Amino acid sequence: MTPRLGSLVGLIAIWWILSLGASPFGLPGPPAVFEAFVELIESGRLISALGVTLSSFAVGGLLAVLMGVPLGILMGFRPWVGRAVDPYLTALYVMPFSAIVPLLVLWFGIDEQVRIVFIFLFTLPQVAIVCYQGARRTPATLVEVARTYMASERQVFWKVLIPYEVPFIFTALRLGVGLAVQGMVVAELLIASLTGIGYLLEIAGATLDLATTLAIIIFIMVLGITAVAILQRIENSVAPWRHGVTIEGGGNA
Amino acid sequence: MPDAKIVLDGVRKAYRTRKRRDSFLGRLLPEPRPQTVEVLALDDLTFSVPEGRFVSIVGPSGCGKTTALRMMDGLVRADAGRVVVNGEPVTGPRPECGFIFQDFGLYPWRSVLDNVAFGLELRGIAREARYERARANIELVGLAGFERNFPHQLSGGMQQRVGIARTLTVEPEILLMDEPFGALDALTRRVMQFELVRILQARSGATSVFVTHDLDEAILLADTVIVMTARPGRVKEIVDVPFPREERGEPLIESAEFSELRHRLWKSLSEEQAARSASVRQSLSASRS
Amino acid sequence: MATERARAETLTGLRLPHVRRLFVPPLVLLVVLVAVWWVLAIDQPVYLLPGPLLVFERFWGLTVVSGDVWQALALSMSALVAGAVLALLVGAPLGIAMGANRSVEKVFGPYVNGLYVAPVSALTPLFVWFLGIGLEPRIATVFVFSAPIIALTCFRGARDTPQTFVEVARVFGASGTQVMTKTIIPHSVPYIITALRLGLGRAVKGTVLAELVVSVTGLGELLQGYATRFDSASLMAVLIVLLLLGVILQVVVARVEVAIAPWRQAT
Repeated sequence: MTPRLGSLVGLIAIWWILSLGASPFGLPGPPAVFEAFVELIESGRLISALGVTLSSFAVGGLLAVLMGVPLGILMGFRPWVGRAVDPYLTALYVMPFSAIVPLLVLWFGIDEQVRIVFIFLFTLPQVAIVCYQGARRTPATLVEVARTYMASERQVFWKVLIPYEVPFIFTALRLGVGLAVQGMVVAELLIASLTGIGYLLEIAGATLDLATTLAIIIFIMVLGITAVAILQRIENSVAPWRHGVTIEGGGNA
Repeated sequence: MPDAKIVLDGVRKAYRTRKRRDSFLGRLLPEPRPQTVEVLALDDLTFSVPEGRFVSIVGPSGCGKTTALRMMDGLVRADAGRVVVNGEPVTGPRPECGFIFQDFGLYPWRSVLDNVAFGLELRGIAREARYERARANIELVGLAGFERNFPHQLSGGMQQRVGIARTLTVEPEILLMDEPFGALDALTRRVMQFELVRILQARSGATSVFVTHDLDEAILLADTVIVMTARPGRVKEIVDVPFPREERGEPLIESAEFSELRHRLWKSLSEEQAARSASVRQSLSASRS
Repeated sequence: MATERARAETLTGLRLPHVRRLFVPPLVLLVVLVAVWWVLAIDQPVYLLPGPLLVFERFWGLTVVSGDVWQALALSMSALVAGAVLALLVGAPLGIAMGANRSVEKVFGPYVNGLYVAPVSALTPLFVWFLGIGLEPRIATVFVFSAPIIALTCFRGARDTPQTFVEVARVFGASGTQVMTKTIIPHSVPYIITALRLGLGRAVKGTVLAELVVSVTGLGELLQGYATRFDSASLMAVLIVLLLLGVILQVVVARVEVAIAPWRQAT
């Protein structure tokens, strides 16, 4: 714990020192940024912007998980479905997603809908892929054990395959949330809208208010990291026996 | 034999595996038609297991002993020949067969109690009834008090005991054991061997087939030892173990008779081990494309 | 029987699907998707949902006839390559150092992980602020996108070096540096290739994002141009190009990975 805290303090210290040397248009120091942050909260602007942004994040992310998990599981248990869909999911996962934004804006305009669709499309492939990988790799022994006890197909599905999947589903959730946050931010950046975090950033940029910009950015990054950390905790406690699969994230659009 | 519980007659089993490319370029380019190599695991394997007897199968690695065992519970199908259990040809797993796996096969999300009660749960037996039977077997294998624990909290030896308890709980007529102590260290293995002797004495009457590569284990536990040849596997020789059940313990292993028997089996086995090295060399050169 | 197949797999280790089985199901799905698309597009105005034929025509036009797409990509290349190379030069040694040395991991770990998980796209406006409009913020964005995954993958490579390998080296009298160069680094090489693949994927994403935010050259400019002209067909064509490129790159590099280190299990 101490080296981590130490390096964080060190980083802030370096930031502070750098900010002291620069001109008024240069780097604002920690106190100025903190002040800006407080102002954002007190005026309620951050909260309302967050509310708008988070709702599209929640809806888009939820849809992606609700559709992605069953899709991935289906792909794992029915290999031909898996083989058919996998290349497309991989293609989506690898693609620079921001490229889709202009098209989406053309189709859906610039309000709520477009953000939800973007976040949904962005998060779905990875969630599905994780569940697919997990379902595919169910160890043969576990299924064989059930068969020696004369389990029916349905019993194998519910009593062996699904329980085995659960940790993967949590991993998919964690990744999904992380991705959805990233997608949300990208959506905010690229879609010129009149509400939400993106709008706040725009105004701060237009008025050359670097302190506010920094405050918002730091806040978003911390939010993203915290959300994932919490989910990681939950994931660890659900499945202490850890199936141990390396999952690579494709995020940040 | 007229009262044979399990019969294998002329069993043949082959696997198809892909030849692996050996050069970097070979692995890089896609294979339009992968070349396969046929591996004959079992060829004309014939033996039978009388009712109530404990039979050990030993042989060099890869001789197909595990395959043969799996055929008895219908996990693998023979290409040719017959596998007959209780007078009926085997088409799939049987409720009267219990199978114990080398890697335990415990469900990590289930407690010890739920793992042991698994077989009964599948049969739809009510919770209290199955827990009662499960508890009895947990106690029998010496794990009383660990009912609420999870597999990852237990040592290897304890996990295998759970596996044994789970199988015993469904009260199978036939016990099939696939190197159950293979994943354990030598000391634990010895302890478990004596445990198994004790447990099986408490439940006499089960026909058992035990696959292992450990000779001491094979002799200690069995009434009969079947030695298999190197791949493709068939029966090399069948040796009866004359020691009475009550005497199967520590002093027996030290005795001269035991050593003699062990030595005899060892000679037989090492001939096969040498044959196996020769065939591994052969298959490596065959798979170079 | 599934169990038999599973055992055959373990006998040989890796099992890549037969080429025919690999291609047919996705092609079938493709045909179905295109058919559905065609039907849906029949009554729609062209700017909204162009039909597959039109899009394919545009696709052909952009790639083969005018080569606009390649020109745009070339413009994007400089930021992409510079950023990716930088990310590799910084990320790989850092990752390996983190894997080899626990204190390094303790200090840098949280930041690398944090940058990987955080929505670093939020940093792009910041880069624009400090570095102006031009090549620099794009390189910075690409760097920030790809460096963490490169570092994390190389970290895995170094950290997962079985202790046994290290001990064998020590027992034969290897010095600290030799342990590094003769065991840890060779073990990490396949992971570095994987890191490259993943890093490139992220780098491309970073490039496109930067261009859309900064929006002056390359693909970003191309895409924005089509958007303002309501040219959905061309937009979709460009997306298809990107998709194809991504997949081809993935497949090729994945094969290289397997070819280099056949003892590894491919993900």
